[in-house]
Amino acid sequence: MLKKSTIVLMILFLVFTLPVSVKGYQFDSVFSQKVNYLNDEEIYEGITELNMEFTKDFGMNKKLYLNPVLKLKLSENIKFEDTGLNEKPFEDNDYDYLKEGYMDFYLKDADIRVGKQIVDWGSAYELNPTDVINPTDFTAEDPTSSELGVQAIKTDYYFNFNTSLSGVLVAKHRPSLIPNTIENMINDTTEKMIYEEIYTNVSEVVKKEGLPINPEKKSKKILANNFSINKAKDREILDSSDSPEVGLKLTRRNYKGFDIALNYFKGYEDLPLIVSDYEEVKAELAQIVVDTITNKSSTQKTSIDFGYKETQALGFSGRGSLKSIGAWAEINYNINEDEEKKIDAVIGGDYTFENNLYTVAQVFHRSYKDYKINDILENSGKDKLLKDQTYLILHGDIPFRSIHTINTDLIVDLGGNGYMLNPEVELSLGTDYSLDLGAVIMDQENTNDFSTLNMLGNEKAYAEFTWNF
Amino acid sequence: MRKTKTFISVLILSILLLTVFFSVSVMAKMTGEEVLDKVDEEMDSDSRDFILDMTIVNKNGQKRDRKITIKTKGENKGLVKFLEPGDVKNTALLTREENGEENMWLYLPSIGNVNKIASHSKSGNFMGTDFTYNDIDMVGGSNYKKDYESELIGEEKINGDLCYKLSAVPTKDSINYSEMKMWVRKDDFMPLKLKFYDKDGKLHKIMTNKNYRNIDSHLTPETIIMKDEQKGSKTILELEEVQYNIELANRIFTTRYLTRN
Repeated sequence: MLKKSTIVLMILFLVFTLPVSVKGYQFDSVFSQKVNYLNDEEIYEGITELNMEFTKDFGMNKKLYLNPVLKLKLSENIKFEDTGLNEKPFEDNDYDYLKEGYMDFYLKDADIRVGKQIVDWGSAYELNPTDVINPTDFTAEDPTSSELGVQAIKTDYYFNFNTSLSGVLVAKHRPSLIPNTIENMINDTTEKMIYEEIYTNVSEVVKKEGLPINPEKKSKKILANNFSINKAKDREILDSSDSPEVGLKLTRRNYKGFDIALNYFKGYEDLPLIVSDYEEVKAELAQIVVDTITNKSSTQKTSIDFGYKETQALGFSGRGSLKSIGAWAEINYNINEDEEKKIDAVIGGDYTFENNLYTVAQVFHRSYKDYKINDILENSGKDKLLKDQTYLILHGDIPFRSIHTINTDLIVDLGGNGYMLNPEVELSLGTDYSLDLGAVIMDQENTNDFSTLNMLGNEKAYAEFTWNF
Repeated sequence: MRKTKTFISVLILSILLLTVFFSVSVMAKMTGEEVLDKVDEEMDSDSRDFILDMTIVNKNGQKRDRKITIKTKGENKGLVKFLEPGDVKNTALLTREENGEENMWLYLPSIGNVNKIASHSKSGNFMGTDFTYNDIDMVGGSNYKKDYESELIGEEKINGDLCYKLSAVPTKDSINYSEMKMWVRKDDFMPLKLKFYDKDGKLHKIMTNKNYRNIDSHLTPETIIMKDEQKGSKTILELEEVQYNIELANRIFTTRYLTRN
């Protein structure tokens, strides 16, 4: 099987040799070097990235687009990550060497895109509830703009200038990437919960039978020998054969001054949740405890499986003007196979002042209903994993000396769980060069959940040099 | 016979002189609106396709280069697209006027989505240049009459060319100027200089059109300079290529086409 590093080399070879031999191509690249100082870990890390875009027109009606990306992340403790040089198995999809790679076909009233692609839906600022096709890379520097490409066929049919219908068929579900810290936290919480369940059972049996057994020791042994956690990532590969997804979007432009869209999605959730029947697992654990204590051992094993639940979503988005203010709204109603419901909604607006200060104010709300994982955790006396969230998002940017820009983003959890502030200065060093200097300042009360704020990264100061060529 | 010939000659000459006299009188009495009509008429074309080199120069003299294409069709369809450099490449602005209402859509490749621009944003600076969205739309195809009501306030010379001097006020809320002063060359109704005043009546920007060249029977400025007098910056547009009255398909002026790189 071809290794990723070989594929990357082949792409590079094609990219650098095709310009010599092929007419009608375009080749653009962005080289960036970023240095972060991570405040919590008190270490420096460097991220070098080469983002290449190759476009080849085949006449008026066909186009090839390739977007290979090479990234090297080097932290202070000399640890290579995501380089492709460590010969990861081909099935590992943690890193996108080819961010997008597709063919476009332009027909009379329709456009068709085939291949690995990112489908952007929604009209709100950065957080788009209706943008449901692609998973998010929460391990990226800026997760709000880091969607992962999926293998898909997309067709946009244009009835006229104002009305169009998009259909997307995704060949295989691809989950979001979540940081190891959060994945480990979920595993630890699950393990702790199961341990407590076993401990309660063991204590009851020991007390009832009056046996000279240390419940703590016994519980740990049962946990180690008779129980396992199957991560969603491993299961995802096993279940891949039956995981296509479909999306539909009907867009109407200029309806009473607003661009509006309705969308429907049938597929899988992007974040992993417990898919096992917890009551069944509890019953099996109780049986294992009895067998282990009375028969001295038990070969029976049980497990908790994490996975991506089948889900359906219905969404609406709209964007236009209310007097002199730009206005938008988005809502997405999600219901999964276990009838667990999630509603995401955004309402916001933008305004540009006479001095060219561009401002955005937006409120994002997410609510969860009937999620079993929350009930399980709450019954075990733990915090919910999926908590309702309401955020106020403010953005401002203003040019200075015509060619430089000051940006600021602020996300405030209106539930009182903290905020994230990201001031940044973009210095234009030349037509093709720029230097961004900024910081991410976080203040968080709670880190044990899937909250958006929790997934947005670490507190840091950074400098990033970018060269377009 | 000779007397008759002389009489006819004198009569013809008198008629000619009277015609010239009346023409000059009529010209001299042109109103601001009529001058704007003539400007729009002279600059009018069914379609146009420009490629322009753009240089943004800040107060300190630092320069940044861009390349853009501007396409227009009729009076109500326009497309501005960045061709270079890489960080703004394929950023595109679509303008369409329907039922007297002007709508703009912006495509930013980094967002990957076409978004409708709020009406007030049209008076904001276009992609870091000294042109507003409205100004850049005007570069593509003048149609000043659509956006301004004007009054003739005198005549002045600009670089030796005698010009009508107009004072114009915007008719749309989306234009953030309180007044535009315009110098229109009397010979050919080409605008040579435009001054834009802010809401406080202070001079904000000066646009200068230089080196008019006859291309396909259309006078076209080779250089357009928009100078922000308050910030000290300027944006220079240099004409690289231009084509008039060519066949531009309607599909170019759609949100569908905006996303095509």
